[in-house]
Amino acid sequence: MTAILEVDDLTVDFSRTTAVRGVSLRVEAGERVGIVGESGSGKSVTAQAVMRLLPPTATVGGRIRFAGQDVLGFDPARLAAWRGADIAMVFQDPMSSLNPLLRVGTQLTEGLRRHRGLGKAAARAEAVRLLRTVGIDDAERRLDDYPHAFSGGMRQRVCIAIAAACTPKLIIADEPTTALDVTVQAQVLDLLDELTERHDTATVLVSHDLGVISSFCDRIMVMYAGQVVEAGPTDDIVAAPAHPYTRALLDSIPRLDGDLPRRLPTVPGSPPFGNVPTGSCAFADRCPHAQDRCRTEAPTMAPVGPNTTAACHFPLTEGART
Amino acid sequence: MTVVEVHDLTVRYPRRGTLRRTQLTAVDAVSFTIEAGRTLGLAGESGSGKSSVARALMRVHDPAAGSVRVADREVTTLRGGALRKFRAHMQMVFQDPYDSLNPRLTVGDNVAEALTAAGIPRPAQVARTRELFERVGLPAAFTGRYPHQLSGGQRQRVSIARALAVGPQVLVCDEAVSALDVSVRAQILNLLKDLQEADGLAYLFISHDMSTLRFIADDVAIMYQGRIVELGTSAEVFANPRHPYTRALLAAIPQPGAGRRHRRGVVRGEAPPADAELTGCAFAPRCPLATEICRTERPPLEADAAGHRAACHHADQTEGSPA
Amino acid sequence: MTAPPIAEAVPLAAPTGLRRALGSLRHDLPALISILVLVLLALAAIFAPLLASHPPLQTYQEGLAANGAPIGPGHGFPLGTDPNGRDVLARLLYGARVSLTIGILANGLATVFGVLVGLTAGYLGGWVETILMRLTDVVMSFPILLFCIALISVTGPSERNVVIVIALIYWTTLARIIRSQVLSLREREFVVAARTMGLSHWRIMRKHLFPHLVPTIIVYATLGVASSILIEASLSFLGVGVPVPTPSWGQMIEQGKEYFQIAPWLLFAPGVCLIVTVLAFNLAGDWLRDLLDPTAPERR
Repeated sequence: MTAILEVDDLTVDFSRTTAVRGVSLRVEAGERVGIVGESGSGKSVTAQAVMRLLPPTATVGGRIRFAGQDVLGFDPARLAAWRGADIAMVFQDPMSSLNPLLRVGTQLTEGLRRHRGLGKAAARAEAVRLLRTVGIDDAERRLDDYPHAFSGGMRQRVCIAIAAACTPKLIIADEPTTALDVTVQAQVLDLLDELTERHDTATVLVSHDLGVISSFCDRIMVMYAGQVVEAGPTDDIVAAPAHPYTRALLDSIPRLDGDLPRRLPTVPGSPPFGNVPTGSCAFADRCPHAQDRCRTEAPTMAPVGPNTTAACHFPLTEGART
Repeated sequence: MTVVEVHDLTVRYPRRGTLRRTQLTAVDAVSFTIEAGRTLGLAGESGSGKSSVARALMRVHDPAAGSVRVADREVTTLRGGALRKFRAHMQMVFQDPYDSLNPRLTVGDNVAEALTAAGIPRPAQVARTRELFERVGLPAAFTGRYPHQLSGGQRQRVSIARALAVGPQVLVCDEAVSALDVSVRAQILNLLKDLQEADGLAYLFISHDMSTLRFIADDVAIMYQGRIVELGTSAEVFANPRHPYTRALLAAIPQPGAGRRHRRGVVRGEAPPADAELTGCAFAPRCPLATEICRTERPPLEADAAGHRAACHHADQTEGSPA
Repeated sequence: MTAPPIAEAVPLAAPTGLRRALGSLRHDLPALISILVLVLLALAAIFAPLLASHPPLQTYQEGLAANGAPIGPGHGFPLGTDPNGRDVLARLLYGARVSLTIGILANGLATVFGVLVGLTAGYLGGWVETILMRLTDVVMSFPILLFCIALISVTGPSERNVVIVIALIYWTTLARIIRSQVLSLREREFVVAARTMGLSHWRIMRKHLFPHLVPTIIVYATLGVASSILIEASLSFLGVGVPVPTPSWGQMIEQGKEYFQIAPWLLFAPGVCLIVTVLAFNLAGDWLRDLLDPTAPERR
């Protein structure tokens, strides 16, 4: 398999804080990778850095390669051609990523004409087809509607249609279902599933919801305080997390079946904001298993299983995991 | 002991049209009771009317019809000073920890405001505030800080302390943990459970998150389009959901470890806009079981032998079996 | 749950108000000059008796030329004399007292009234709001200057009446601004929380609404002083403002206009003072608005 996206040692600094410190990520063609983390984990900043969507106040370090090309070196023209054609993004708030003053059809055909060179009529026909694909009835007529005429779920479908319009090689979806009701979330996830499978599109899904991530992704990356703390195949990590933070995340979600504990297992404190001291594990303060070494030496990513890696000096062993 | 008794509560909001003034029914004849020391979970998606129930109970927005009795007193007819005095019985924890505290006051003073409302003299307030902070797991030294200096979880603890300040019997939690990070959410849920056990508080816990409700609630009411469509003990509703909407809701929740790439969307479409004219069952347009009667006749909320109520003409019939 | 914005950091130690104010002044030269001008002006008005070499109302025989014309700057009168042989500098300094006092008093009254009306209307809503806001609309639709003239010609010109008339007219804009702010504030969760706690309306308005309106009030009060001084000048210029012989800038301009060709200093001196003062209040108001508005882009 060939790598669509290779991110090496990505760092993102804002004027006062470091949001991402040393994140590496590799996405193969057609693969689905999930990035999960809480607020301040740097998951969204990572996604925006890959799309080159960060404000100019951010300093980006490291390497981002898309199909072998250096993304950080793209000039504005190359960037514009690349976005939409090879890579597309779906955001949390569909209303803010659609222009409220333009008809949905205009916004859909824009990319088709620019990136795929279609004529006006052909673009419109393709737009109708796309809207049908994302499950919008009466597509012909709805092309002439403005975004406010669509419900939240329908708007997100339109955004997905726009993202999928030029069959990009990679879609980055940043909390695409967070603003939606759970029954609608299910439909939107099904739709993303279908589209990415049909065109073998690689997907990076960013979410705070481990449930959403694990129901969609082949591999997941757990981020905490700007760093990846655990990565590997979804099933392995969900079944037997090696990092105490991943364990804590899984334990914090009450199950829908089986017995319930009277109290939920918790870790104290809250996710750190801003600058985390280097030279120690960022999770050490909250970790129930922290020892002296965790406070004096930052752990690096190391294999903890056949396919999983974790950044922990004392990864949970099989016995402690259950 | 029944602390909260809600009967046929109806909430309407005025809608300003260009010419005629119409009203939007957000809550349509909702009834439930809450016992002391128990939690009623109110679930539903956006626009289901669950927050309107909270606002009507708290008299933030006056209900259009129905009765609300708290500690054997009719709440809907209270006015002025009597209403202010009554508020000590029922308090609320809000959703947004970034907005629910007055940013210009220290968090200690935020709590002290509730004590002022209860008529506790200023000198006694300081000690009481420190006590309350300790009860919700915050260092007493935090009283001098401003809201923006605290994390979301800490602020929500302050909100809870403020709600407890006047010694209420009922706590209304409107999406009280939804804005919090998962690891922090669990801490707050545990805190709420501990407080309930200690004080015998009755909770009305409103959430769109079913897994949170399964943990916190003793009884669960599912709302759809302003009506309660299912009501029963938490154990019953989660194990044997009777209404097709409840089943769809539960099936749609992604759970870690539940496997990948299964079809999640059981029902199509979305809830109609809140101002849609409804005849019959509100869920009929999306329901896989809907038949003619569903579109014409509104199903009553009926209990089965175990007292588990559902408003469905085809309750207990599952999607697999022939309609 | 909403995803956090990019700027995730919680500000731990926000600089105190005064330090921030001084810091921003360093980068804002017009504001700095305006503040200095206003301070100097206030000092000049306060210490007018010490600064003026002559009493303002005293007419001087030597202050008039042989043909009875006012004399120009110099000759013992730093800014010359007026047609009555009075010292222009002394009148200017005492005039500053009158103009500033009227401007600040009138606008202070208008601010208090505007805030009360806007806050009550926005918070209570219902018929109270309807009545108050219709009243505001009515007052706003008066032709201001005409209305002032009519009112004062009925009540008779006096400093007190000028203050009252300006205050009666100028509360409306602030009332509208305050009301619209209160309308959005009252939906904020901490205000709803204050209501559900059972606090009295008065306490909610005082402790939970008013502090959030202070930045707006300060800004509009500052800008309003400039307008009030202008209105006072216009009224005095039209002869319905501050009655003679008390000096005010507007009235000095009015008296000087007839002698413009032979004694231009009579117009220039109060005219320049008026322009500089109004400009200084306006610039200082703009600066305050930016300083107190947390959504304004930070200047570095």
